[in-house]
Amino acid sequence: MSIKELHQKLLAKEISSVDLTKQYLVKIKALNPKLNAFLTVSEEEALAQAVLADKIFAAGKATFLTGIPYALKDIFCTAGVRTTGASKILEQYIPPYSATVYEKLKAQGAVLLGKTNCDEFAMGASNENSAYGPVKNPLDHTRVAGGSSGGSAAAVAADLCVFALGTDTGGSIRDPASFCGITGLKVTYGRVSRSGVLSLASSLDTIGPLTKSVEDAALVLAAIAGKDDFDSTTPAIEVEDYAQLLVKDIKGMSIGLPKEYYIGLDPELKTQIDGQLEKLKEMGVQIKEVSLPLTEYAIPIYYIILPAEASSNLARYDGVNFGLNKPGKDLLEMYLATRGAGFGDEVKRRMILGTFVLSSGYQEAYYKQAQKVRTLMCEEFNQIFNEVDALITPTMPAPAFKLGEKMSNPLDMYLADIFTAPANLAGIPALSLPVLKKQGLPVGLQIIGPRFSEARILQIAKKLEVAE
Amino acid sequence: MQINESLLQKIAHLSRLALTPEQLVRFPKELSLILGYIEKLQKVDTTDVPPTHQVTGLENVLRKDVVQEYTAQTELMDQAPSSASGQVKINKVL
Repeated sequence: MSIKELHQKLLAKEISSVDLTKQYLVKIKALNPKLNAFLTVSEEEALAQAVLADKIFAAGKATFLTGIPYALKDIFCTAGVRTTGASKILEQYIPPYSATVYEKLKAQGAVLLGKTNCDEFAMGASNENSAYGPVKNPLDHTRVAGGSSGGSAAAVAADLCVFALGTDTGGSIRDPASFCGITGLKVTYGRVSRSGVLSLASSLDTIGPLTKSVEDAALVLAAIAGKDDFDSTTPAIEVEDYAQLLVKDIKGMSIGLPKEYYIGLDPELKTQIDGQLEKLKEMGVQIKEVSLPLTEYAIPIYYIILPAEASSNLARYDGVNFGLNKPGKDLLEMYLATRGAGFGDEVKRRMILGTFVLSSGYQEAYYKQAQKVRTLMCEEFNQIFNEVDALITPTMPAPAFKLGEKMSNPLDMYLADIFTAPANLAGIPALSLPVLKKQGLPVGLQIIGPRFSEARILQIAKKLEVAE
Repeated sequence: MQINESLLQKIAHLSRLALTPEQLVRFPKELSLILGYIEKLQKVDTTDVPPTHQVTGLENVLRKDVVQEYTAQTELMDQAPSSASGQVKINKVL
């Protein structure tokens, strides 16, 4: 059921927020042991929030999100509710403060069901890097849910919550949305406050919704977007009524197909994309082939900048003020032991890579070079958006792979970000819409737009969305 | 560019990360593979191209210097692995 449909039911008193929440808690109890989508189910807190939601309804002050049960990726700080980052180093961590987006959703009376599993500190594309076990794809339990927001995507796909929030640094919302057959929106960098979200790469991290429909994504986006004093990278740009704007006609829009995203693409997927493009042409949209020659450098840039920024951001996990502490004979021993024991393989690899590319003698050739090519990539996107209003590509080259399939070579996993990472480097929004299929499994269609064009992307997605 | 065990040890130490013997053997291979792929970036001509630090274009975002009461001292201190008299206890620093 959609957010608006549930809202009508709650408004009409066909069900109370408390009963709706209880329904979801029962479902989670039944399915989560198989899927491992949730790391923490905050039952008491959920019911308390549901009671408050019912009060908001009684006072006639309900919004669309009041009483709606949702989940947060376990890198969102939730005061009083355990937040692990899917890492052993935060296994017992209870944040003393909350992420801004959590406060915003709470203020509207939305109900937090719990914290979802993810790749450790959001590093991964399959949710196999969690210190608490992988998330199974609800559509096929032998396959990955995608990552890093795998738990959020699986929870939405399996209807263990109405919507979830995730983060997207290189594709971590769109990738699992594609694999689990749901809608995932990566926002413009700075559109949504990152305050209270465990930082991975500060120049790339974004927060966004994973939902069952485009309209739900629009509703959630409006609730969480906006300038925040606690995040100085959020510009004072108006938050539009994205749901209202969905009905706007897209006739006359031009959409580009960047040829670099279609080289060697599975012909079955290509045929289906062509079908989607035909629908757009019938709506009066112009389709043209374009070129983004720097696309092949996205992964190398990303896997220099991300590890560099992550190595800096994860320095705070040092056993001193919070988190795991492994004693040592002196401070240095304590640091080494704590971080050695608390971090998994992928986190360590990326921190070492990051430290290396920032180190004396190598910074110029690696980090600075990556930053410069990033500038060229941003310029390339700017120019293309002078020619077209949006771009359409596949989100992923293939459906969800089998658990364990890509674990023997880290590079294989990195290449999963090939179509998603460019948008993060340019700071532009992109949505994954579950309209393609391969071997009976979903594959996402990606719609990319210039900065702050979320309304436009959502409009295009709405037109292509398959009615339930 | 290869990362051998000795370079790995040095960087791991800089990152304050203890590695297991198994990781000390496996990581050099994995990291060298990744670096090998990343090195294709050298092919791009970046003469006179400025680096991108952030994509918002925002500068000097200021706020009024107003003090707000912090009320979660207990919750904050509860998270410290070791504390005494309202202060966090750690190994000797100096």
